[in-house]
Amino acid sequence: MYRFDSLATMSFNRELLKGSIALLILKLLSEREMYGYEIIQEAARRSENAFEFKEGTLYPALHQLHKRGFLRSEWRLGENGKQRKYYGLTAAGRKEAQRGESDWRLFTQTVDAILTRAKT
Amino acid sequence: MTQRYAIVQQIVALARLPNARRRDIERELREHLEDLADDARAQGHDEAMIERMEAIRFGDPRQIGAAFTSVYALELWTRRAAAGGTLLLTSIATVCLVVGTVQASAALCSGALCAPNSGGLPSEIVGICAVALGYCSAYLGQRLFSSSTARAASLTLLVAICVAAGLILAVPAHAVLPCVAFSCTAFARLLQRVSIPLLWFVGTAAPITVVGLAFRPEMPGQGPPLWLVWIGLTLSCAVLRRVVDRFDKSTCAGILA
Repeated sequence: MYRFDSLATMSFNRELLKGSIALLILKLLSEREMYGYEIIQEAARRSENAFEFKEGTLYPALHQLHKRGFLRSEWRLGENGKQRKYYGLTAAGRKEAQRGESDWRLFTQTVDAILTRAKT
Repeated sequence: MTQRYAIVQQIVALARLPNARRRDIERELREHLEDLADDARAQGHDEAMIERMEAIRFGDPRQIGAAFTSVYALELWTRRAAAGGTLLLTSIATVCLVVGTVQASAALCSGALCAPNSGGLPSEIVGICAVALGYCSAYLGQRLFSSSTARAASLTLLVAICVAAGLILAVPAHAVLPCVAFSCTAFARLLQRVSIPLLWFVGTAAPITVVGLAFRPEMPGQGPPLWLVWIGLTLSCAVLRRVVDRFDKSTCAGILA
């Protein structure tokens, strides 16, 4: 469950976050279909509340990915009997998630290497 | 309406979206807020606190609205272009019918065929398109920029300049009448919004009168008499008014909102 009293999350650089939002969404949805609120909860849970999507960031990003053909969506009944809009990956979305993940790993390894060597 | 749904209302009102998308986003955000509120209640927070937290979490509705707008901008403008094109084609067909009827009636009454413009059929077609385009551009300007008369008039003026430039480049000898026809119908459409009945007749009459006084002796060819042109234009505007009224009530119009 999302904790309302744990809003003191880590404040990441906005520019840094901007480029990774799509990847995070695609990666989370590559495991199972989720609705918006569930994505926020899952991201918070995995990062131990260090990272949280803001609604104003998540939903436009979801719609952008849907528009680009990386996501499909459908309204259906959730576990508690409520109608929810579930998002899942398309084949193009799956490829994009894999590509994004490998790009990210290469990028972070490279940056990490530079930072590490700078220290020594 | 609670503050909770007011946020959603603000977001969808500020975003420029196709109607179907607007409804879908509104529904999705409402469901989200309900989930958020349910969890907060389960944690023992009161309604005032929940609403405050929701406002913090959602942030500035203008920014979210702008973000949604940019996602659907291309789709919106494609739909707008399609709706505008449909309206324009319908208007051209309507003007063809009206002008054809007026010319046929005049021919029947006078017992002679009414002489077309010296440019012949192509020139007639250009004139008819100019009539429809003038009316539609004024209407679309009013529709797209309902809150700003200046911006609405600017759009019409921009289209008028493009039409005039195109005509002068393509058919310099026959550019005057279509430009006048454009001005007449655009002006008439603007005056149709004024609450004084029949004032819009001035819209079609004024440019023709000016042209009749200033240019007619120098204009090439023996086109139809100007009073007949005026009747054709005025009847076209009257019928086009019905056409755009119907368009306003159709689902297409929502796209232009």
